[in-house]
Amino acid sequence: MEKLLSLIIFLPLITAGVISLIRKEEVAKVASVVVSGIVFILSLVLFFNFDFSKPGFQFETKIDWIPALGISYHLGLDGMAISLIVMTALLFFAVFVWSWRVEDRPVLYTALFLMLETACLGVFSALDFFLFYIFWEGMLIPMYFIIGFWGHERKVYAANKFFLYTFFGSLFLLLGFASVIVYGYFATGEITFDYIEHLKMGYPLWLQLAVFLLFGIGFAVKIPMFPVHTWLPDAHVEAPTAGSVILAGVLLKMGTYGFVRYSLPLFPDASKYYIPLIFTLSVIAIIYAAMMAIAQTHIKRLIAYSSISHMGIVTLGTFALDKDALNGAVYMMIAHGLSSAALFFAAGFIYDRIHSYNMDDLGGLARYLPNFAIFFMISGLAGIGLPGLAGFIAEFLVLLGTFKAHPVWAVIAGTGMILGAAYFLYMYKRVMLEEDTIPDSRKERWAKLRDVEAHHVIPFVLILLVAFIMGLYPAPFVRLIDHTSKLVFGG
Amino acid sequence: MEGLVVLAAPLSAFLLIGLLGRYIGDKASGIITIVAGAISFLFSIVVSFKSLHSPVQIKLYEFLPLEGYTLTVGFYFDALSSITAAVVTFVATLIFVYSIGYMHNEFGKWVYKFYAYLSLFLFAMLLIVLSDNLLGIFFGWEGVGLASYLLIGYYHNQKKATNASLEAFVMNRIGDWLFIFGIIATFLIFKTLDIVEIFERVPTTESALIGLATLLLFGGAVGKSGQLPLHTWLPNAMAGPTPVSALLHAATMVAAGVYMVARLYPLFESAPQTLKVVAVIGGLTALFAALAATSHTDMKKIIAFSTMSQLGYMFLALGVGDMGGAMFHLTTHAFFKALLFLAAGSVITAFHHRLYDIYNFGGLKKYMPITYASFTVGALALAGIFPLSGFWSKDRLIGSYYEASFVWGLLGTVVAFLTAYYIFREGFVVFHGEERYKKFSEHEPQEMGAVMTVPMVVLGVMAVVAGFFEGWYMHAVGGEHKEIHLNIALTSVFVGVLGIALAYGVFVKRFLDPERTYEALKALHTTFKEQFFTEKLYHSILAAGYMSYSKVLYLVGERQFIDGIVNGTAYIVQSAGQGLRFLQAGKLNWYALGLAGGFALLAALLVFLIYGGGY
Repeated sequence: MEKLLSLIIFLPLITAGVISLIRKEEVAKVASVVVSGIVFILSLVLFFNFDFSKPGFQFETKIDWIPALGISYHLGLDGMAISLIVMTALLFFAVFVWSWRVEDRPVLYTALFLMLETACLGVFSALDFFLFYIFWEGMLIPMYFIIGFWGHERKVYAANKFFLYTFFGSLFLLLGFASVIVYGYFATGEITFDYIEHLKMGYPLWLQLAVFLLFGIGFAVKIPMFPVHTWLPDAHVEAPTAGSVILAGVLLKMGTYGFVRYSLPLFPDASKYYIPLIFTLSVIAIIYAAMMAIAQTHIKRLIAYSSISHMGIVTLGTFALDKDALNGAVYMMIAHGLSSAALFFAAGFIYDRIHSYNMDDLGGLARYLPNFAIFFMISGLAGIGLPGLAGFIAEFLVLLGTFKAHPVWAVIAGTGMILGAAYFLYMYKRVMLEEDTIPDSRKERWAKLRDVEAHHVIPFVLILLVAFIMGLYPAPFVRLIDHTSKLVFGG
Repeated sequence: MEGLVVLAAPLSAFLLIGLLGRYIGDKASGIITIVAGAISFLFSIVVSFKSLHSPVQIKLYEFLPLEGYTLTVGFYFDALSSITAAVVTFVATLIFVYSIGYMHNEFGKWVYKFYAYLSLFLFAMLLIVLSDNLLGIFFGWEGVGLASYLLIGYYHNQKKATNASLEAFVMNRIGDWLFIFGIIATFLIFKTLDIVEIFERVPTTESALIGLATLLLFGGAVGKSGQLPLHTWLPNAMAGPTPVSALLHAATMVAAGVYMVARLYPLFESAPQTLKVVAVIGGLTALFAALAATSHTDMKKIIAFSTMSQLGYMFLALGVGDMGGAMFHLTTHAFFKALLFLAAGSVITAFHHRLYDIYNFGGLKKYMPITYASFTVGALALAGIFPLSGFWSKDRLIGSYYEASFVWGLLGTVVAFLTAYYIFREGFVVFHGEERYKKFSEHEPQEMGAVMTVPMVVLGVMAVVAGFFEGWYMHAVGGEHKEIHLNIALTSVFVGVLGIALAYGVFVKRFLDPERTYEALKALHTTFKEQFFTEKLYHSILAAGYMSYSKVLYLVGERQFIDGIVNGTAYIVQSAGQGLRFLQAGKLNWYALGLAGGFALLAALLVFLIYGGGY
């Protein structure tokens, strides 16, 4: 089992190497689908073998790497990590199936995505600061090229903005890691990059307060939190569909994952100290981003802002310092990963067929694309937290947990469910409905459109099925995630 | 186990039609919907008899582990829930049958979707009625919200319909937002979401929070039942097909708010302050909506306002402590209100869905005798005329109002008068007088087929006889038995007859010239018709206002301010000569620089903190 985890992480990277040597389009496509499928199945094997009644990290691997600096190849999973890994593997599989028809430089495209998959899986499993940071930065480069090569009109601007922003955040994170390592050296006389070792140290308050901010900036940019969020809408607008799906579904979760993995357990006192700050930013994000969303005419920009709004719920739940709320926050990471991925797929489908993201150019599509209309609607309902889908359980847990100690914050944050319904249904209306308001020439064009094909249906069905399962039978998933909450809060 | 069939039948119908509808066709979809509704009804009858004296609770599976409590999905069948389920499924099934006629040749090839949505609607409503825990109720709660969104916006090519469905969903979500916090607060007080356990714990729990929790829960009911101030979606929801209006107003959706308060009545009773709020909101809405109904001319909107008003009646009854009466009125109202809508739908179908304004009809009684009779029976029941069902339930409510306070009683009487007036105004204008429709249609209107008339006749019979079951109903649901106060009964019937007489005098005999009266009362008329301008206010300030604030905030706050700072910074870095070239040329150097810089900063920080700080 321990080796399986390493295999899962590096299988995509190895495949990327192989296909870039073979350089054949068909091979690349088949290999990417098959390998990501295998990775998904193997991640499920881990998932079903995970014993959530047993505390602590599981499937641990620890091999000395640079002993002089206390750096080791240290991997391990807890309930949150295994959930995120399964979700990541699922989304990458979906993305490769979706990209079946990619024509522009397909070999490079699949290779970059496979590299990205390794980086993403690595981030969620690394238990060594150095290893984590490598994976963390490792995801930056493939994503930069994906946006820069396969993006739309302003792709270079967006790619640079994405890179500079996240790189800027990463520097603070690096500084944060450096600080705690240096502190560890002074406190214990040994240099160690090991997460578990640092967990035992119990940093003094002054260090916690300072380093929390360094980590916090690094994670906040990635999530992204208000006010360092403006890179995300631009990146999404320009990114190709598959890039957006991974960006929203997986990459954003790295920031929130970082908060739960590092900030909460390493800086428990600082986490308490900064509650007002984080709550303020979270609630602003929820409401402000929802307002930004409804002001858009670009489909992807709207979905991007809705992501920022949802991430506000995650950060709120994380720092409510309550078990239910934390469970909800992690649940939201998964739920949002699924719903935003499905929504970006939907946006991508519209672009594939009509070559526009602008709602003013659309309208009345529901009659011509009936199957797509259903997928799009369910994806949106998953996003706005309709009961029966995963998002509702997440929202409910976060609001419940936050309400216990901070009822006013919870009630204000809860307005997100009203605003969310407004922006999604408003978009759906403008894109899919009101056929009577569009010109006849457009109707003629619509009549020739082809509805979803197999390589669209598979990703939609897989993702939405999981969203339904998690919405209708949440008990096992909540117990799994609770494994992490126990790690953070004890008990 | 019979209880689960009640829920499973409409759910299966929804899934079956949703997945296979386009292959099996509209007719088969319609039949599946009807059969599922009928099965659900039959089993709910069986369950009613079983659970009348000994309530049954079925637990299904562990749903959600919370700190200190694990929620299990389950259903609770007692007299209240199972009788309500029977009424809901009965009325719904008749409406499903009627839909076959109404939706014939409607809106191209998408009718199977309509049946799927109807089944979903029924399932969600039954979830509210039968769930044994608050979260289950919330699932149904949002489920009816979704189903109503889909059904109100069924003619989704029209802007009117999509706007109305969007408004309905968002406004319901405002209520749901309050409701979910009501659930959370209730959970924190009682440490359980199971309603049976909550009832057990109510007598022993002292908490200042109960008032707040019940108030929030009631907020949900306000949204769902279209009470003030979350009322504007209800009349606009008439944009949907008429069977939807009937379903929405008789058996599902709006009834959910009243039912929820009745279901949780032991909890509400422990919060007398909240009950006062319930009474005030209900009373105001009853009057407000009745006034609005007197001035509207849309065939369906008048009935919609009537529903709002009658729901206000029920809330007022809940507020003054007569839970049994409120639920009984909900039941009789389901019959006669469904009947009124179906009769209205029959008229609309006769004119091929083109005419809606009551002044465009006229003189229909000789062409559509069954519809005319149905409408009249429904109207008489609504007006509370002896011995129809509405008389019994309404009389009981007004009696309760007078017991609580004279003001409430007087309000009830005034609303009863207005009710009789507005519904007979509609009836007289549509079915009597000159045949104004000839301007719009060459064909003579005629009665629709049996699929439409039979449901009306059945509902008509129920609207007449349901009142006689008052004693039995009160005994079953545990409402207190009340003697009829002869003076109140006589007064109510008298004001009802007075209202009818007024409508007859104005619109048939024309003692007053309607046009001149209209001119004289124009200001008042407009105020009523515009619902005291609440709708305009909401639309301009809340809906349009929210949009424009958002747009301005986006253009100024986001684009100019935040992004301006970012791009400015990037520009400064870039013009310093390096910037992007760093990234492209020497990524490794940049990393190394960052690393070194980071360590330098860190060292400085450490030195400062260790030697300079106060730690």
